[in-house]
Amino acid sequence: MSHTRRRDRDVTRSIASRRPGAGTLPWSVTNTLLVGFLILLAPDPWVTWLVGGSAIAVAAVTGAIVAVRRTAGIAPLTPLDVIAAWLPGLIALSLAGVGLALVIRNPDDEVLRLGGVGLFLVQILFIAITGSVPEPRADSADRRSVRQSA
Amino acid sequence: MMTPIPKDIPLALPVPEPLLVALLVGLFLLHILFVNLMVGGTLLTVFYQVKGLRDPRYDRLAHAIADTVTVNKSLAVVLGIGPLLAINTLYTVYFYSANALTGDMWLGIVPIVVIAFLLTYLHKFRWDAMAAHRRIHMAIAAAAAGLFLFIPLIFLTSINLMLFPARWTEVQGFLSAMLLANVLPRYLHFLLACLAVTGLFIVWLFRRAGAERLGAVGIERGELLRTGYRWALFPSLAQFVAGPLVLLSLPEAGVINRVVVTILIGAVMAFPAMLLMLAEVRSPPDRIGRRFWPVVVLLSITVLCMASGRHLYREASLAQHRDLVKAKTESYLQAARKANVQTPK
Amino acid sequence: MDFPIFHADLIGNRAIIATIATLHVLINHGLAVGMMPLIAAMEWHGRKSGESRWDALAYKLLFVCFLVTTTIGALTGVGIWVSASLVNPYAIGSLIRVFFWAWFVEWLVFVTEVCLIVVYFLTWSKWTGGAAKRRHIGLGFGLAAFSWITMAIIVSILGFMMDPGNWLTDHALLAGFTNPIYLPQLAFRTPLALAMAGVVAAFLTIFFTKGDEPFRREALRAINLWTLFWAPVTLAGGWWYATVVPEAMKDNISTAALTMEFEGWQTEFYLIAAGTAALLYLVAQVAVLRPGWVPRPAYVVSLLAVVWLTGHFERVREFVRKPYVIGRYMYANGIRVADYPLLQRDGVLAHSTYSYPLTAAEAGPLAAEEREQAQRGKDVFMIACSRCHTGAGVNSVISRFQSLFGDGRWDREQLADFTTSMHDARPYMPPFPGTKAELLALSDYLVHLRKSGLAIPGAQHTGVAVNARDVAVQSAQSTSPAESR
Repeated sequence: MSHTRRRDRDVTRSIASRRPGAGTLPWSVTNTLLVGFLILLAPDPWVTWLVGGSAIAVAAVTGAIVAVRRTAGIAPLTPLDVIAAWLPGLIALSLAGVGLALVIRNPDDEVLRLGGVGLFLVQILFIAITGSVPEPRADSADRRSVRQSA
Repeated sequence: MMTPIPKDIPLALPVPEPLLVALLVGLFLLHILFVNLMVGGTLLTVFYQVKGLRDPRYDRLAHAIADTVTVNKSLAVVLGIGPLLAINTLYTVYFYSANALTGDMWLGIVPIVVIAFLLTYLHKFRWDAMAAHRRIHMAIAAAAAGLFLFIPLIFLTSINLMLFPARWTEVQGFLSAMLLANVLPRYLHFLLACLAVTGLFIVWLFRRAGAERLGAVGIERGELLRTGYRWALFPSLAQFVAGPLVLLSLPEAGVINRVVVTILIGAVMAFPAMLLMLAEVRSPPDRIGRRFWPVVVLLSITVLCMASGRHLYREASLAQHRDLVKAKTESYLQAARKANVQTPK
Repeated sequence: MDFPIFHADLIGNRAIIATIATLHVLINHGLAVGMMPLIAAMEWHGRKSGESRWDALAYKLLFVCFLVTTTIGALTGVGIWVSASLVNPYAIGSLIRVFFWAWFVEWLVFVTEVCLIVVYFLTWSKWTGGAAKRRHIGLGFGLAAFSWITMAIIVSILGFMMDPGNWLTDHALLAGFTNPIYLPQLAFRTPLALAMAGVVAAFLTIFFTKGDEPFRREALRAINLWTLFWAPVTLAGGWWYATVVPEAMKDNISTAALTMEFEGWQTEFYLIAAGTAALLYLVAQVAVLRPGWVPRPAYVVSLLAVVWLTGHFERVREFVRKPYVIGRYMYANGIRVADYPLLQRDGVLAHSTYSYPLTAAEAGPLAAEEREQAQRGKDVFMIACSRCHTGAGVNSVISRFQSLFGDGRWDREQLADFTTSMHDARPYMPPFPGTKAELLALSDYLVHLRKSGLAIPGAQHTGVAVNARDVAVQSAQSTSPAESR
């Protein structure tokens, strides 16, 4: 079994070096954290909306591109493939919005503000990670090959 | 010892009483049919597994019967809720009082039946895996059978106690309630019924069976049907002794003409069923099974008469007490209403 | 309560219903209502993708569900009937009068559900290929629908118990069914069941995909996707539900969540609950992203977390309803709000059919003149307090008073005074339903009980006697002497 895992890791590494966006993960994380910091410090709800909203918009676009790429190569395309590509991102974006709303609606409650920022950050980070880290092809490759032989 | 006369729930019956009675009697018969199959099926499984130690064909018969027990048990439980609902509504005061007085055992139904069911599944799904440990396998079935033999006593005790408010101040816990008349004769009546109904079930199972199913057991169709009929016939003949025992041991208050006549009609309908079954047992292999449905119809009428007679007995037994409960409830509610008006809020 | 009173003094009567009902909820939410659509979806996806391992996994999950739901699931359902009729027959008896048809219809749906799951299970390996498989998958979704319908019916009754709404003035089934709590609670429980099933399925999948790491990752990703979707819907439904809980009941939440001893820790509790939910969500989100990054114990933690959150929610839901068992109609002691003026004027014993004889152990240390007072006090305790309190067990009335009055000598007047105004200090307590004299008898009994340290036996152990103080008995005796039936 460890022999298979080593093979997976090798495959992953070789794909990562070829994939565009590989190696940008540390930058995405830093960017996201900075955005969170700005939101916490923002003096005005409008600033929070602007900064947070922009982050969400950027994440939405990036996420959409990743989702389209993911579903491009798969045939036959099952509903699960489509849902798996799009749903996590949609949920993450919605929850990021909820986090932002928590921050804006509760200027006095420190716990809720921190919770809101935390929620926002985690969700945006998820989208950032999905974009930056390649998917181990062992999964989909295996599935495709099993399907062909079935 | 005074008879307690409690107050009833002050809300109206949700459904006309005749409909509740029809639901109670009819749905209970459905429930008890599957309980009979569950208990009888487990008992017969053990019996044939023991026989199967010498002749492997009987082990396969036991397996065929055991396969049905797991389905029948689920139906038995789920079909029990309807009559439970009906009896809760119709006899609220009586049923709950009897439940409370035998409370520990009544509550015990839940864990005991769960264990019995889990044992049944273990027994069924591990049949082949335990081929080398036949005796332990049989012990599992025997344990389940033991529990299935005990559980009906809990129900019978409660159902019996509810009819005799005069006894409510006399019992202390389950055992004293179980020993009241006429729980044990009814228990015998019930056990014989389990065997009889399961016997007919075996006939039904194999009467139209294809060559594959018969081959899986390895016993010739005629012999299988005869076996089933024998399980139905002999316990049913014994019922002609057990039945009168139940009737005679019933506390007299409720035994009125209507009750006796209804039950006698039921018993009379069973006679031709016995004769038909006897004829079936003696039939040649190509003709056996033809009289199955007439037997079932006749015995269904018997069972319906028994259930109706039981209900008539129940009503007669409680009629006076019901009136007293109603009067007390009414006077209490009047007093409560008056006190509400008089009390400043 | 005018029934022989069943009483379990060790764990208390509440714990009997709580244990059975919570077990039932965990099974019917996580293994039936929530799980059947997931299994059917897996079977469907297996067919669509051509990957047979999905079908095999779905079957194994179904086997576990079939085993558990048809044994513990079914019997705890019956167990709720059995225990509710033992612990509060007046409440369940009244509810049946209102909701008979609802329960009857639900029962018919249950019968259908049992038949469907038996067929679904037994035909899995027989209905394979083409049209038969399509039919089988349809059966699975049909089973899921019937499962949900049973929830849709029963939730109405639960909501009614909290806030009967218009039924208080219009005693009709429809008025009760459309109580204000109904839809919000259903909107909460449905996604909760679905999310719970996802957590359970992920846990079981670890065992069912041994030795097949790539498929395990694929299965875990898909199942956690399911959980990921339903979890926020659960929160949204929960939010809606929280807004319709009656204001007065919201005040009880701190005690409901943490018991009296820890009432002050409400904020901490919310943080812990929120943290647990967040952890559940995090595991699901990471598992969707990279199943390989989630260590296996995390799934055990998720399972325990969802079991705890659900169990605690049920406790809170049941407790905040106090002092009522049916909101604004009947108190938790089984006595109707409308009965109180009469009983507080005449006394509970004047209108109670039964008396609960002192056992030899209870009566032994008492002097002859003390016995009658102690008997009176015991009867009052059984009728007014025993539904929620015990003598020497969980939530014992002795330990409650001990935390108030300490270990020194107890003064009967003090006890009585406190009990009179107890429902003001503790809003989840019903008012005392009797007279001052009965209150003093109760206090005397409690003083004896504290000394003896005995457990209080219920009617199932001691039996019952006819209460000589019942006005109906007294008037019957004065009009027709020596009437023995």
